Amino acid sequence: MNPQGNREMEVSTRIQDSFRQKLAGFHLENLFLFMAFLLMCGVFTVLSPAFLTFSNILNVLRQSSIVLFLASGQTLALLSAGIDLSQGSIVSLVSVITADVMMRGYGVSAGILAGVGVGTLCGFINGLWVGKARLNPFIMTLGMNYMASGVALLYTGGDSIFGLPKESLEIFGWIGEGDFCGLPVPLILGGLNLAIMFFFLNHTKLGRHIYVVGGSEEAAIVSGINVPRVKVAIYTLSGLLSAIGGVILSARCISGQPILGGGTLLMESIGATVIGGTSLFGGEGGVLRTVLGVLIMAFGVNGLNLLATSTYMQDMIVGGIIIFSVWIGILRRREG
Amino acid sequence: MSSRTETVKPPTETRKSAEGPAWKKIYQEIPRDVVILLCAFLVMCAVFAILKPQFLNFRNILNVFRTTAVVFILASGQTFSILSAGIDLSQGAIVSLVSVVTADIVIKYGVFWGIVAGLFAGTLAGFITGLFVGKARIQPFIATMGMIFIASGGALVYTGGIAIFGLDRPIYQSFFWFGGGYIGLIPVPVIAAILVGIIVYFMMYRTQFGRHVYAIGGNEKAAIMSGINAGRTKLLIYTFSGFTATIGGVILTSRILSGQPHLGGFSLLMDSLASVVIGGTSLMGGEGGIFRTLLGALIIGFLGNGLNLLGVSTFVQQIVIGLIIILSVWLSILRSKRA
Amino acid sequence: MEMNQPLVQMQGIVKRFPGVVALGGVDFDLQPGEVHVLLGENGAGKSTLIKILAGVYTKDEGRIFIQGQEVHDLTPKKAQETGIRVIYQEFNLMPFFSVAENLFMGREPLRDKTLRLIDWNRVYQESEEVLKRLNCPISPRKMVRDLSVAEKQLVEIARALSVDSKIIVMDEPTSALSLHEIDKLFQIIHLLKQKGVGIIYISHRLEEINRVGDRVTVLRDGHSVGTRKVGETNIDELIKMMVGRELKSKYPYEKREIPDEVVLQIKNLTSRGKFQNVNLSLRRGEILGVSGLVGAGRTELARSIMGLDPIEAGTVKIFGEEIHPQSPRNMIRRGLGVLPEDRKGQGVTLVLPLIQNVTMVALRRILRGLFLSLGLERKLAAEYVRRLNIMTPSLKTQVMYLSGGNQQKVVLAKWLFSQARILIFDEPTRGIDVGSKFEVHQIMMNLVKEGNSIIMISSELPEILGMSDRILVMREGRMTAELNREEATQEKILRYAMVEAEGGSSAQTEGGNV
Repeated sequence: MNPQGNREMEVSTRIQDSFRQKLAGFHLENLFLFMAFLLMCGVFTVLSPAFLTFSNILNVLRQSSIVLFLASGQTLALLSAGIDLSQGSIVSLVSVITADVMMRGYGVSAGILAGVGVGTLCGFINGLWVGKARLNPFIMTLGMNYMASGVALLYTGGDSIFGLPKESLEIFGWIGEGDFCGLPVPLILGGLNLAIMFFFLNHTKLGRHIYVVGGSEEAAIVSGINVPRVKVAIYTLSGLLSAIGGVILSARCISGQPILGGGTLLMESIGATVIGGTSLFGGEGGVLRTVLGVLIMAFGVNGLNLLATSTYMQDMIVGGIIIFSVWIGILRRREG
Repeated sequence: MSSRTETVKPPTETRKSAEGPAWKKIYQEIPRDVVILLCAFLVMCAVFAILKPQFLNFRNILNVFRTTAVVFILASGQTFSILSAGIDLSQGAIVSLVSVVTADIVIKYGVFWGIVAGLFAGTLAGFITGLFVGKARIQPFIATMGMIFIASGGALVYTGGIAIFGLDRPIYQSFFWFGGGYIGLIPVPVIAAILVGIIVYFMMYRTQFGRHVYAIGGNEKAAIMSGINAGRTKLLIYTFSGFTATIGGVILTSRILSGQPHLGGFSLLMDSLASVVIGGTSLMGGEGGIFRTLLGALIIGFLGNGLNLLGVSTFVQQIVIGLIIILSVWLSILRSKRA
Repeated sequence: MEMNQPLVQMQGIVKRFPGVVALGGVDFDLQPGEVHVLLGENGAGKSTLIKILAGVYTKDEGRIFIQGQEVHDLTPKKAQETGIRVIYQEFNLMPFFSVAENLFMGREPLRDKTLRLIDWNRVYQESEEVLKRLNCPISPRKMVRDLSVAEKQLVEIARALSVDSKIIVMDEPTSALSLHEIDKLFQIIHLLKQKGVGIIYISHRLEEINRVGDRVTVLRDGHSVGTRKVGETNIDELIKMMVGRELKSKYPYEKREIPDEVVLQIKNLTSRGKFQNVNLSLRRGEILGVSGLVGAGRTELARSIMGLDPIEAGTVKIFGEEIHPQSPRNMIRRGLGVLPEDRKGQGVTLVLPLIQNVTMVALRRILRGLFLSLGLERKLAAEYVRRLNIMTPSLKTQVMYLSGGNQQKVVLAKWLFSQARILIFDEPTRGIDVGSKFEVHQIMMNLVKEGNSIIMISSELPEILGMSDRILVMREGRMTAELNREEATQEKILRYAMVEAEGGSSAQTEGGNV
């Protein structure tokens, strides 16, 4: 127990007081998860020397920050006992809009603004229907997923947008592949996101209300919380975060692709959130846990890659892990 | 002390009478929203027919039936999942899995074994999902979502990501029959759909299993108290749902004569779901049935075809379908007496 | 504060629900610094009155004054702002948050108005103060999930205090506490009294009323029977006030010769936390009434017998066969059927047509070969509908459209269809109109005359006395008495249901001749 124990102490002494309170609230499952993560990294390090290299780690972190953005939004949805299945196509839609605006010569800022705006709008529409019309979030975001993807494809007629103008290319590319003070830009953005989300969930009223709504909607109503408004906020934020993730991903590919978010991105987002321990039933979990989930998935997949495991095999493994995590969650619920 | 003894007002469809011709009796049995849906469908077809006369072309209609047949087959299995207040998201992925396995085995061991292998693989996937939902009690949407990973991952692993070609050789001609052949004037897929439809009809309305599905979807607690084995029923539901996806997969593979690990994408799943949802089967379970799904599948099929003829991009169709699903669910919530 | 101005004054409160008058004009007042006990049977109206005060229900008639000011249109939020705080039995705490976070849930002090950031320092500091005032040794950082029931209760009280509640309602506060914890609770109540807080105390434990109460008001069937000073009354008088109704209703009871054959025998049945060492013998053709207050464990007992909840110890013998009821199917196959308390939630499937509800349990009866015969189903179901006189537009009508009484008949039809010979009725006529009530009782009588056996769990004393051949009384998970029909009275039953039996431990009796 000692090596892990020492490392854990290192971690906690570096964290501020408010963080420590939350850490003190960490229970056995999280500890177990963290240890599982370390164990996994240990195994990969032994099996593949390339794993623990600085460049590899940085690369994984760079890519995983995209998932972190999506997963933070997903965490919000799950905390309220909902889910956001539209994240993938919001990424695609944002990608093509951003690229197109830049192609028309309006510049990077306008492009990003437009893209993020559209993504947030999609989230807002989700929120309206889930919050006000009381539609099942599952069906609503599933439908939105299909629609947004259709809009993205329609927008470009199915083609991808390459060859961005030179002025935009540099800045845009920097967002995805560049460094800032030695660290990858996406990583810094991800870190900022993490800090803001943590703060939001734990230190603001709205953040609290999200937990209450997920924990027990009746209790929320009785406490005078405006439940519809909270839900609108949740899905709007999730759309916003997905949009940012979409911008970063597009920046990495320096192009606009209408199927950019169509792969396993949504699964990774949900998977990370669920593996991290945020409950599907709502009311329990948080961004720190999600970060852990993101790291586990990201480094897990990376390790498997380095071991030359087929990506498809990886998909299967990830699917299995997600189901397993949910199962554990259900067993726990039944005991508690 | 809050015993609500409210009585809900009965529906205003009191147009019942004991006497009258047979067709009138049948008409009175049909729920109002189905009648509306039927009218909407006919109106839609009329509009398309006016705008593009080829719509009513025999060849065209046959084509629509051929493609709709596969969607209907999948949707029949999906109907069971949704009736039980669950859902099966893995149907698309199972189609992909079946496609590659079938193609591969057909080439290696012949048509017969290829189909057997495909049926086995797909039904097994459904069975595993059934174990997750029925025995491990994992929520259907997570279990089937995880199965998407596993099944499509499995398909990709199996072929290393590439498609399997070579089925168009004359030796495999008999295989083509499943997707492209005819019995008389009727395409085989349509016959298959009719057969599946009849089987599902009996399963749903004339077996204990069917009743159990409705009971579980209607009120799982009451169903368990009535002695129904919910876990076993759910296991059967998802196995069957996977099985229907399997049949669809064999037919589709036969049509394109190749094994494609991406054959059953998101759109196939959405079409399957849309058919069930538009038909009016409630997502909350316990209400709905195969006839509604049939109507839904036809609507989706002809809508797509009409839009195609009008030159509307498939992407727009995608948007339309997504919108229709959302609106249908919203309508059913508004109409719902259970909210 | 003016002299003797009551904290709460409720005048002529009337509350109606469809089909029943929950409160028919109740007066109630609460003085500052007093503990006013609210007493009454299940269904007497206590909880309705409290919910009206808490703003959860709206009154139909009457006036409410808080500290001399009349209040209209109470909502839960408004009630809290006026200083009313209800501590429910189930608590309203968020388990995954700390004590301090719960204390301030919904009213966290803001450090920064614009960003709406929470001032955590203040939260923890003020929590410490409040807890100290109550001599409560709980750390404000502890997670609520890790607290014991007694500690959670203290947190609830602390929360009430921290919002300066002047009026605290405690609903069955001692039901889950140990003797030591009860003492502590009473000390805290004493503290609160000294501060001038008024407490409305709902409890069935008559022994406690002496220790902690100042006045007691008895409600019965939606009316206030009287208010007494605790020192000026005794248990007998209180019980008499609670039940002193005339037994007006008629019951279709027929005296019969009941053979000694035992169809269901339960020995030492225990399920931790729900019931202990329950013994029960049900003879063929008899109606065994099981009385007791809500929470006594009767429904839990029925569920365990049915195989829905696990049993930790004890044996169940049905028709002479010893069996471990692992699942409902086991017991159903042997002829058992349960009509649950929660009719709509567990008894019927509202969205399904009547006919399918009826045949659900025994589909094998309509199986012809591989398939169900819809014609046979219609025929058989129609018979039961006729026999039980179920009023419905058609066999295909969804059960949600039927009245409560008819829904209950559907549940009954379901079990008759499955040819169950032992039926457990849990609150058979709750929420049913008078006419259907009589019908249900008639049906029950006919059933036992035909040789079936019934266990009837009921909180309605008249019904228990009217229909049972023998009566068992449960209290807090234990059987406290077994009475014959002739020797039973309302007072006796209520006494056994509420009061600790003489000698300290609860009596256990075995019924029947085995």
